[in-house]
Amino acid sequence: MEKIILNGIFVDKFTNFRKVLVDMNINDMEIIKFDNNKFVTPSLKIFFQTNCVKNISDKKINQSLAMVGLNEKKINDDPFMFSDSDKYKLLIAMSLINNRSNYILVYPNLYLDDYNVNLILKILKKISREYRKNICIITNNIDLLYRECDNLIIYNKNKIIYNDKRNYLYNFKETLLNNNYPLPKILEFISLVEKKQNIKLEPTFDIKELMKDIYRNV
Amino acid sequence: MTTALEIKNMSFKYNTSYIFNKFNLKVKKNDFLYLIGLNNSGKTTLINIINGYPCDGDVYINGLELNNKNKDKIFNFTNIIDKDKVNKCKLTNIIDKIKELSGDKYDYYLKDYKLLEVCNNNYNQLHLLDKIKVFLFISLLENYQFLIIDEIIDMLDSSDKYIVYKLIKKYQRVFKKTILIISKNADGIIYAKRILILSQGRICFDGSINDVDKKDNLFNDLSIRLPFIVDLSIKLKLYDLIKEIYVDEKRMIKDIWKK
Repeated sequence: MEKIILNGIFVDKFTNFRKVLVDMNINDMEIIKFDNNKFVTPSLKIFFQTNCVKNISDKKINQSLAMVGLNEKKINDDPFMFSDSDKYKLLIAMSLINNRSNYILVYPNLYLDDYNVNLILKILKKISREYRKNICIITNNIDLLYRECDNLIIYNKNKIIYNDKRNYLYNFKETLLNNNYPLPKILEFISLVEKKQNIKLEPTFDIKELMKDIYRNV
Repeated sequence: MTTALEIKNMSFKYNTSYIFNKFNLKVKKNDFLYLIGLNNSGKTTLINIINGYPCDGDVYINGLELNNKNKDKIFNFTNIIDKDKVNKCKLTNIIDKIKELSGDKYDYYLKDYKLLEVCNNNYNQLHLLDKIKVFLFISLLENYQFLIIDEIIDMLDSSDKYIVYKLIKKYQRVFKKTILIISKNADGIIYAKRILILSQGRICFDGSINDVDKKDNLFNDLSIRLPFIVDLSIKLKLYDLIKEIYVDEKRMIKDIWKK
Protein backbone atom coordinates (compact mmCIF):
# COMPACT_ATOMS: atom_id res chain seq x y z
CA MET A 1 0.00 0.00 0.00
CA GLU A 2 1.54 3.27 -1.06
CA LYS A 3 -0.37 5.51 1.31
CA ILE A 4 -2.64 4.85 4.19
CA ILE A 5 -5.35 7.30 4.97
CA LEU A 6 -7.63 7.22 7.91
CA ASN A 7 -10.78 9.16 8.26
CA GLY A 8 -12.34 9.47 11.66
CA ILE A 9 -14.76 11.66 13.48
CA PHE A 10 -13.08 13.12 16.54
CA VAL A 11 -9.53 13.77 17.64
CA ASP A 12 -10.72 12.32 20.98
CA LYS A 13 -10.79 8.94 19.31
CA PHE A 14 -7.13 9.13 18.46
CA THR A 15 -6.24 6.32 20.84
CA ASN A 16 -8.42 4.04 18.73
CA PHE A 17 -6.59 5.10 15.58
CA ARG A 18 -3.32 4.37 17.29
CA LYS A 19 -4.55 0.81 17.89
CA VAL A 20 -5.51 0.51 14.21
CA LEU A 21 -2.03 1.69 13.23
CA VAL A 22 -0.37 -0.80 15.57
CA ASP A 23 -2.59 -3.58 14.20
CA MET A 24 -1.37 -2.65 10.73
CA ASN A 25 2.26 -2.91 11.84
CA ILE A 26 2.95 0.72 11.15
CA ASN A 27 6.02 1.67 13.12
CA ASP A 28 8.78 4.20 12.52
CA MET A 29 6.14 6.86 12.40
CA GLU A 30 5.98 10.55 13.13
CA ILE A 31 2.61 11.66 14.46
CA ILE A 32 1.96 15.30 13.67
CA LYS A 33 -0.62 16.26 16.25
CA PHE A 34 -1.20 19.75 17.58
CA ASP A 35 -0.42 20.18 21.28
CA ASN A 36 0.14 23.69 22.58
CA ASN A 37 2.32 22.42 25.47
CA LYS A 38 4.96 21.34 22.96
CA PHE A 39 5.63 24.99 22.14
CA VAL A 40 6.34 26.14 25.70
CA THR A 41 10.03 26.49 25.06
CA PRO A 42 12.23 29.62 24.98
CA SER A 43 13.35 29.44 21.35
CA LEU A 44 12.94 27.61 18.07
CA LYS A 45 16.41 26.17 18.45
CA ILE A 46 15.50 24.53 21.77
CA PHE A 47 12.18 23.35 20.29
CA PHE A 48 14.07 21.49 17.55
CA GLN A 49 16.72 20.17 19.94
CA THR A 50 14.03 18.82 22.27
CA ASN A 51 11.82 17.24 19.64
CA CYS A 52 14.26 15.94 17.05
CA VAL A 53 15.75 12.50 17.34
CA LYS A 54 19.29 13.66 16.64
CA ASN A 55 21.50 16.70 17.08
CA ILE A 56 20.80 19.21 14.43
CA SER A 57 22.63 22.16 12.91
CA ASP A 58 21.18 25.68 12.56
CA LYS A 59 21.51 25.32 8.78
CA LYS A 60 19.31 22.19 8.78
CA ILE A 61 16.72 23.95 10.97
CA ASN A 62 16.59 26.91 8.57
CA GLN A 63 16.28 24.60 5.54
CA SER A 64 13.42 22.76 7.16
CA LEU A 65 11.63 26.00 8.12
CA ALA A 66 12.00 27.28 4.55
CA MET A 67 10.49 24.06 3.18
CA VAL A 68 7.21 24.64 5.04
CA GLY A 69 7.15 28.37 4.27
CA LEU A 70 8.40 29.65 7.63
CA ASN A 71 11.48 31.40 6.18
CA GLU A 72 10.84 34.57 8.15
CA LYS A 73 11.14 32.80 11.51
CA LYS A 74 14.43 33.13 13.35
CA ILE A 75 16.22 30.53 15.43
CA ASN A 76 15.78 32.62 18.63
CA ASP A 77 12.04 33.30 18.12
CA ASP A 78 9.64 32.10 20.81
CA PRO A 79 7.46 29.41 19.16
CA PHE A 80 4.67 29.87 21.71
CA MET A 81 3.95 33.28 20.19
CA PHE A 82 3.36 31.80 16.72
CA SER A 83 -0.13 31.48 15.26
CA ASP A 84 -1.72 28.01 15.39
CA SER A 85 -1.11 27.51 11.66
CA ASP A 86 2.60 28.35 12.04
CA LYS A 87 2.81 26.01 15.04
CA TYR A 88 1.34 23.19 12.94
CA LYS A 89 3.82 23.93 10.15
CA LEU A 90 6.59 23.93 12.74
CA LEU A 91 5.60 20.38 13.74
CA ILE A 92 5.87 19.37 10.10
CA ALA A 93 9.29 21.04 9.78
CA MET A 94 10.46 19.12 12.85
CA SER A 95 9.03 15.84 11.50
CA LEU A 96 10.85 16.26 8.19
CA ILE A 97 14.16 16.41 10.05
CA ASN A 98 13.32 13.21 11.90
CA ASN A 99 13.08 11.51 8.50
CA ARG A 100 10.62 8.72 9.32
CA SER A 101 9.07 6.22 6.93
CA ASN A 102 5.52 7.13 7.91
CA TYR A 103 4.00 10.53 8.53
CA ILE A 104 0.65 10.75 10.23
CA LEU A 105 -1.03 14.14 10.08
CA VAL A 106 -3.79 14.60 12.61
CA TYR A 107 -6.48 17.06 11.52
CA PRO A 108 -4.28 19.43 9.44
CA ASN A 109 -7.42 21.20 8.18
CA LEU A 110 -8.26 22.41 11.71
CA TYR A 111 -5.12 24.53 11.85
CA LEU A 112 -4.25 25.28 8.23
CA ASP A 113 -6.21 27.15 5.58
CA ASP A 114 -6.69 25.69 2.08
CA TYR A 115 -3.50 27.32 0.78
CA ASN A 116 -1.36 25.84 3.54
CA VAL A 117 -3.02 22.41 3.42
CA ASN A 118 -2.18 22.32 -0.31
CA LEU A 119 1.38 23.52 0.34
CA ILE A 120 2.03 20.89 3.01
CA LEU A 121 0.45 18.07 1.00
CA LYS A 122 2.50 19.07 -2.03
CA ILE A 123 5.73 18.85 0.00
CA LEU A 124 4.78 15.57 1.64
CA LYS A 125 3.61 14.00 -1.64
CA LYS A 126 6.92 14.97 -3.24
CA ILE A 127 8.83 13.37 -0.35
CA SER A 128 6.57 10.34 -0.55
CA ARG A 129 7.27 9.94 -4.27
CA GLU A 130 11.02 10.54 -4.11
CA TYR A 131 11.86 8.71 -0.87
CA ARG A 132 9.02 6.15 -0.72
CA LYS A 133 7.42 7.47 2.45
CA ASN A 134 3.86 6.78 3.58
CA ILE A 135 1.56 9.62 4.41
CA CYS A 136 -1.52 9.16 6.49
CA ILE A 137 -4.04 11.92 7.09
CA ILE A 138 -6.52 11.62 9.92
CA THR A 139 -9.43 13.98 9.55
CA ASN A 140 -13.20 14.20 9.41
CA ASN A 141 -13.02 16.05 6.09
CA ILE A 142 -14.00 13.34 3.61
CA ASP A 143 -13.81 15.76 0.66
CA LEU A 144 -10.16 16.55 1.37
CA LEU A 145 -9.27 12.86 1.66
CA TYR A 146 -11.18 11.81 -1.44
CA ARG A 147 -9.51 14.57 -3.45
CA GLU A 148 -5.96 14.02 -2.23
CA CYS A 149 -5.44 10.42 -1.15
CA ASP A 150 -5.04 7.12 -2.96
CA ASN A 151 -6.57 4.89 -0.32
CA LEU A 152 -9.24 5.52 2.25
CA ILE A 153 -10.03 3.88 5.52
CA ILE A 154 -13.30 5.20 6.84
CA TYR A 155 -13.64 4.66 10.52
CA ASN A 156 -17.01 5.38 12.06
CA LYS A 157 -18.34 4.61 15.53
CA ASN A 158 -15.44 2.31 16.41
CA LYS A 159 -15.58 0.22 13.25
CA ILE A 160 -14.01 0.39 9.82
CA ILE A 161 -16.73 0.82 7.21
CA TYR A 162 -14.50 1.24 4.17
CA ASN A 163 -10.91 0.21 3.45
CA ASP A 164 -9.91 0.37 -0.20
CA LYS A 165 -8.73 2.59 -3.05
CA ARG A 166 -10.65 5.84 -3.41
CA ASN A 167 -11.74 4.85 -6.94
CA TYR A 168 -14.11 2.21 -5.56
CA LEU A 169 -15.77 4.42 -2.97
CA TYR A 170 -18.79 5.17 -5.14
CA ASN A 171 -19.63 1.46 -5.35
CA PHE A 172 -19.90 1.44 -1.57
CA LYS A 173 -22.11 4.49 -1.27
CA GLU A 174 -24.95 2.50 0.29
CA THR A 175 -22.63 1.26 3.06
CA LEU A 176 -21.68 4.82 3.90
CA LEU A 177 -25.24 6.06 3.81
CA ASN A 178 -26.42 3.14 5.95
CA ASN A 179 -23.83 4.17 8.53
CA ASN A 180 -25.00 7.80 8.37
CA TYR A 181 -21.64 8.73 6.92
CA PRO A 182 -21.50 11.51 4.32
CA LEU A 183 -20.29 10.84 0.79
CA PRO A 184 -17.76 13.28 -0.65
CA LYS A 185 -19.75 16.21 -2.12
CA ILE A 186 -18.76 15.32 -5.70
CA LEU A 187 -20.02 11.73 -5.31
CA GLU A 188 -23.16 12.95 -3.55
CA PHE A 189 -23.89 15.06 -6.64
CA ILE A 190 -23.21 12.14 -9.04
CA SER A 191 -25.49 9.95 -6.95
CA LEU A 192 -28.25 12.60 -7.01
CA VAL A 193 -28.02 12.90 -10.82
CA GLU A 194 -28.39 9.13 -11.10
CA LYS A 195 -31.39 9.16 -8.76
CA LYS A 196 -33.20 12.17 -10.21
CA GLN A 197 -32.34 11.92 -13.92
CA ASN A 198 -31.32 8.29 -14.29
CA ILE A 199 -28.04 9.44 -15.83
CA LYS A 200 -24.86 7.66 -14.80
CA LEU A 201 -21.98 10.11 -14.61
CA GLU A 202 -18.48 8.71 -14.22
CA PRO A 203 -17.36 8.82 -10.54
CA THR A 204 -14.41 11.19 -10.33
CA PHE A 205 -12.50 13.28 -7.80
CA ASP A 206 -11.82 16.06 -10.29
CA ILE A 207 -14.52 18.71 -10.68
CA LYS A 208 -13.30 19.57 -14.21
CA GLU A 209 -13.84 15.95 -15.29
CA LEU A 210 -17.31 16.06 -13.78
CA MET A 211 -18.07 19.26 -15.68
CA LYS A 212 -17.03 17.64 -18.99
CA ASP A 213 -19.11 14.57 -18.21
CA ILE A 214 -22.18 16.72 -17.49
CA TYR A 215 -21.62 18.53 -20.81
CA ARG A 216 -21.50 15.20 -22.66
CA ASN A 217 -24.71 14.03 -20.99
CA VAL A 218 -26.91 17.09 -21.43
CA MET B 1 -30.55 52.32 13.02
CA THR B 2 -27.43 51.54 15.08
CA THR B 3 -25.00 48.98 13.79
CA ALA B 4 -24.17 45.76 15.62
CA LEU B 5 -20.45 46.41 15.10
CA GLU B 6 -18.53 49.34 13.71
CA ILE B 7 -14.75 49.52 13.55
CA LYS B 8 -13.36 52.89 12.47
CA ASN B 9 -9.75 53.55 11.45
CA MET B 10 -8.46 50.80 13.72
CA SER B 11 -4.71 50.21 13.77
CA PHE B 12 -2.81 47.56 15.65
CA LYS B 13 0.91 46.90 15.67
CA TYR B 14 2.78 43.82 16.82
CA ASN B 15 6.47 44.57 17.41
CA THR B 16 7.20 46.92 14.53
CA SER B 17 4.80 45.68 11.88
CA TYR B 18 1.15 46.65 11.46
CA ILE B 19 -1.38 43.82 11.60
CA PHE B 20 -4.16 46.34 10.94
CA ASN B 21 -3.62 49.80 9.53
CA LYS B 22 -6.71 52.07 9.49
CA PHE B 23 -9.07 49.11 9.24
CA ASN B 24 -12.81 49.72 8.84
CA LEU B 25 -15.75 47.33 9.16
CA LYS B 26 -19.48 47.88 9.60
CA VAL B 27 -21.93 45.09 10.50
CA LYS B 28 -25.65 45.87 10.28
CA LYS B 29 -28.08 44.49 12.86
CA ASN B 30 -29.83 41.22 11.87
CA ASP B 31 -27.15 40.51 9.27
CA PHE B 32 -25.60 37.08 8.71
CA LEU B 33 -21.92 37.47 7.86
CA TYR B 34 -19.27 34.92 7.01
CA LEU B 35 -15.70 36.11 7.35
CA ILE B 36 -12.98 33.99 5.75
CA GLY B 37 -9.76 34.70 7.59
CA LEU B 38 -6.75 33.05 6.02
CA ASN B 39 -3.79 31.95 8.15
CA ASN B 40 -2.00 34.99 9.61
CA SER B 41 -4.62 37.35 8.19
CA GLY B 42 -5.24 38.94 11.59
CA LYS B 43 -8.50 37.17 12.50
CA THR B 44 -7.41 36.25 16.04
CA THR B 45 -6.24 39.83 16.60
CA LEU B 46 -9.57 41.10 15.26
CA ILE B 47 -11.47 38.90 17.72
CA ASN B 48 -9.21 40.06 20.57
CA ILE B 49 -9.93 43.67 19.64
CA ILE B 50 -13.70 43.06 19.55
CA ASN B 51 -13.18 41.42 22.95
CA GLY B 52 -11.73 44.66 24.31
CA TYR B 53 -8.01 44.44 23.57
CA PRO B 54 -6.59 48.00 23.35
CA CYS B 55 -5.92 49.39 19.86
CA ASP B 56 -5.77 52.71 18.03
CA GLY B 57 -9.07 53.80 16.48
CA ASP B 58 -12.70 53.32 17.52
CA VAL B 59 -14.77 50.19 18.04
CA TYR B 60 -18.53 50.47 18.60
CA ILE B 61 -20.78 47.55 19.49
CA ASN B 62 -24.54 48.15 19.41
CA GLY B 63 -23.78 51.88 19.17
CA LEU B 64 -21.69 51.91 22.35
CA GLU B 65 -18.01 52.70 22.29
CA LEU B 66 -16.00 49.70 23.43
CA ASN B 67 -14.28 50.84 26.63
CA ASN B 68 -14.09 49.73 30.27
CA LYS B 69 -17.18 51.78 31.19
CA ASN B 70 -19.42 50.12 28.56
CA LYS B 71 -17.87 46.64 28.60
CA ASP B 72 -20.59 44.99 30.76
CA LYS B 73 -23.45 46.42 28.68
CA ILE B 74 -21.71 45.40 25.47
CA PHE B 75 -21.12 41.83 26.55
CA ASN B 76 -24.76 41.46 27.61
CA PHE B 77 -25.46 42.10 23.92
CA THR B 78 -22.59 40.19 22.34
CA ASN B 79 -21.34 36.65 22.81
CA ILE B 80 -18.09 35.47 21.26
CA ILE B 81 -18.21 31.69 20.95
CA ASP B 82 -14.84 30.03 20.49
CA LYS B 83 -13.20 26.63 21.08
CA ASP B 84 -12.23 27.53 24.66
CA LYS B 85 -15.76 28.58 25.64
CA VAL B 86 -17.26 25.43 24.15
CA ASN B 87 -14.73 23.14 25.81
CA LYS B 88 -14.66 24.84 29.20
CA CYS B 89 -18.41 25.39 29.56
CA LYS B 90 -19.52 24.47 33.10
CA LEU B 91 -23.10 23.57 32.18
CA THR B 92 -24.25 20.64 34.34
CA ASN B 93 -27.88 20.18 33.41
CA ILE B 94 -28.59 20.61 29.71
CA ILE B 95 -32.28 19.78 29.75
CA ASP B 96 -33.12 22.24 32.57
CA LYS B 97 -31.22 25.02 30.84
CA ILE B 98 -33.00 24.39 27.55
CA LYS B 99 -36.40 24.19 29.30
CA GLU B 100 -35.65 27.47 31.05
CA LEU B 101 -34.81 29.21 27.80
CA SER B 102 -37.38 27.72 25.45
CA GLY B 103 -40.41 27.16 27.73
CA ASP B 104 -43.07 24.79 26.39
CA LYS B 105 -41.40 24.64 22.96
CA TYR B 106 -38.36 22.85 24.35
CA ASP B 107 -39.36 19.49 22.88
CA TYR B 108 -39.66 21.01 19.40
CA TYR B 109 -36.28 22.71 19.71
CA LEU B 110 -34.55 19.57 20.92
CA LYS B 111 -35.92 17.58 17.99
CA ASP B 112 -35.05 20.34 15.56
CA TYR B 113 -31.49 20.45 16.85
CA LYS B 114 -31.25 16.64 16.99
CA LEU B 115 -30.40 16.89 20.69
CA LEU B 116 -33.08 14.63 22.14
CA GLU B 117 -30.69 11.70 22.62
CA VAL B 118 -28.05 13.67 24.50
CA CYS B 119 -30.05 16.23 26.47
CA ASN B 120 -30.07 14.14 29.66
CA ASN B 121 -26.30 13.75 29.68
CA ASN B 122 -23.77 15.89 31.48
CA TYR B 123 -22.30 18.53 29.14
CA ASN B 124 -18.72 17.43 29.89
CA GLN B 125 -19.49 13.87 28.80
CA LEU B 126 -20.71 14.91 25.36
CA HIS B 127 -18.74 14.47 22.16
CA LEU B 128 -17.37 17.66 20.70
CA LEU B 129 -20.06 17.81 18.03
CA ASP B 130 -22.86 17.68 20.59
CA LYS B 131 -21.04 20.19 22.81
CA ILE B 132 -20.92 22.60 19.86
CA LYS B 133 -24.59 21.99 19.09
CA VAL B 134 -25.69 22.47 22.70
CA PHE B 135 -23.56 25.57 23.17
CA LEU B 136 -24.71 27.19 19.93
CA PHE B 137 -28.31 26.28 20.62
CA ILE B 138 -28.26 27.83 24.10
CA SER B 139 -26.48 30.94 22.79
CA LEU B 140 -29.09 31.36 20.06
CA LEU B 141 -31.92 31.09 22.61
CA GLU B 142 -30.27 33.43 25.13
CA ASN B 143 -30.72 37.18 25.04
CA TYR B 144 -27.52 37.89 23.14
CA GLN B 145 -28.31 39.82 19.97
CA PHE B 146 -24.90 39.54 18.35
CA LEU B 147 -23.15 36.17 18.11
CA ILE B 148 -19.60 35.86 16.87
CA ILE B 149 -18.79 32.23 16.14
CA ASP B 150 -15.04 31.83 15.93
CA GLU B 151 -13.82 28.77 13.98
CA ILE B 152 -15.66 26.12 15.99
CA ILE B 153 -17.80 24.98 13.05
CA ASP B 154 -14.57 24.15 11.16
CA MET B 155 -14.17 21.23 13.57
CA LEU B 156 -17.27 19.42 12.31
CA ASP B 157 -17.60 17.04 9.38
CA SER B 158 -19.58 18.08 6.31
CA SER B 159 -22.94 16.60 7.32
CA ASP B 160 -22.77 18.10 10.83
CA LYS B 161 -21.70 21.46 9.40
CA TYR B 162 -24.77 21.36 7.18
CA ILE B 163 -27.04 20.73 10.20
CA VAL B 164 -25.43 23.50 12.25
CA TYR B 165 -25.43 26.10 9.46
CA LYS B 166 -29.07 25.37 8.61
CA LEU B 167 -30.05 25.81 12.25
CA ILE B 168 -28.04 29.00 12.69
CA LYS B 169 -29.65 30.41 9.57
CA LYS B 170 -33.14 29.45 10.73
CA TYR B 171 -32.74 30.82 14.27
CA GLN B 172 -31.00 33.94 13.01
CA ARG B 173 -34.14 34.69 10.99
CA VAL B 174 -36.62 33.68 13.68
CA PHE B 175 -34.94 35.48 16.60
CA LYS B 176 -33.48 38.33 14.50
CA LYS B 177 -29.90 37.85 15.67
CA THR B 178 -26.78 39.29 14.12
CA ILE B 179 -24.38 36.49 13.29
CA LEU B 180 -20.72 36.73 12.37
CA ILE B 181 -19.09 33.41 11.52
CA ILE B 182 -15.31 33.39 11.32
CA SER B 183 -13.62 30.55 9.52
CA LYS B 184 -10.38 29.80 7.72
CA ASN B 185 -12.25 28.25 4.79
CA ALA B 186 -15.26 28.98 2.59
CA ASP B 187 -17.35 25.90 3.51
CA GLY B 188 -20.32 27.85 4.89
CA ILE B 189 -20.51 30.82 2.53
CA ILE B 190 -23.68 29.56 0.85
CA TYR B 191 -25.65 30.15 4.06
CA ALA B 192 -24.54 33.75 4.67
CA LYS B 193 -26.01 36.99 3.34
CA ARG B 194 -22.67 38.74 3.24
CA ILE B 195 -19.23 37.24 2.69
CA LEU B 196 -15.94 38.91 3.65
CA ILE B 197 -12.37 37.82 3.06
CA LEU B 198 -9.73 39.08 5.48
CA SER B 199 -6.21 38.88 4.12
CA GLN B 200 -3.13 40.55 5.57
CA GLY B 201 -5.16 42.87 7.77
CA ARG B 202 -7.58 44.15 5.14
CA ILE B 203 -10.93 43.17 3.68
CA CYS B 204 -10.27 42.12 0.09
CA PHE B 205 -13.77 40.81 -0.73
CA ASP B 206 -17.12 42.06 0.51
CA GLY B 207 -20.17 40.74 -1.31
CA SER B 208 -22.86 38.08 -1.54
CA ILE B 209 -22.69 34.56 -2.98
CA ASN B 210 -23.77 35.97 -6.38
CA ASP B 211 -20.67 38.19 -6.45
CA VAL B 212 -18.29 35.27 -5.98
CA ASP B 213 -17.94 34.36 -9.66
CA LYS B 214 -17.15 37.98 -10.55
CA LYS B 215 -14.14 37.67 -8.25
CA ASP B 216 -13.37 34.04 -9.07
CA ASN B 217 -9.72 34.94 -9.72
CA LEU B 218 -9.36 36.44 -6.25
CA PHE B 219 -10.51 33.17 -4.67
CA ASN B 220 -8.07 31.29 -6.92
CA ASP B 221 -5.19 33.64 -6.12
CA LEU B 222 -5.79 33.23 -2.39
CA SER B 223 -6.21 29.43 -2.85
CA ILE B 224 -9.63 29.52 -1.20
CA ARG B 225 -11.53 26.39 -2.15
CA LEU B 226 -15.14 27.27 -2.91
CA PRO B 227 -17.95 24.97 -1.74
CA PHE B 228 -18.50 22.21 -4.32
CA ILE B 229 -21.88 23.52 -5.56
CA VAL B 230 -20.56 27.07 -6.05
CA ASP B 231 -17.39 25.85 -7.79
CA LEU B 232 -19.43 23.61 -10.11
CA SER B 233 -21.87 26.47 -10.84
CA ILE B 234 -19.02 28.76 -11.91
CA LYS B 235 -17.58 26.06 -14.19
CA LEU B 236 -20.94 25.14 -15.74
CA LYS B 237 -21.71 28.82 -16.34
CA LEU B 238 -18.58 28.94 -18.51
CA TYR B 239 -20.06 26.13 -20.62
CA ASP B 240 -23.34 28.06 -20.74
CA LEU B 241 -25.18 25.14 -19.14
CA ILE B 242 -26.58 27.31 -16.34
CA LYS B 243 -27.07 31.04 -15.81
CA GLU B 244 -26.61 31.55 -12.07
CA ILE B 245 -24.77 30.42 -8.95
CA TYR B 246 -26.70 27.61 -7.28
CA VAL B 247 -26.68 26.70 -3.61
CA ASP B 248 -29.07 23.76 -3.96
CA GLU B 249 -27.93 20.65 -5.86
CA LYS B 250 -31.46 19.40 -6.61
CA ARG B 251 -32.50 22.69 -8.22
CA MET B 252 -29.28 22.78 -10.23
CA ILE B 253 -29.82 19.23 -11.55
CA LYS B 254 -33.43 20.06 -12.47
CA ASP B 255 -32.35 23.17 -14.38
CA ILE B 256 -29.45 21.51 -16.23
CA TRP B 257 -31.59 18.69 -17.60
CA LYS B 258 -34.88 20.53 -18.11
CA LYS B 259 -34.18 21.29 -21.79
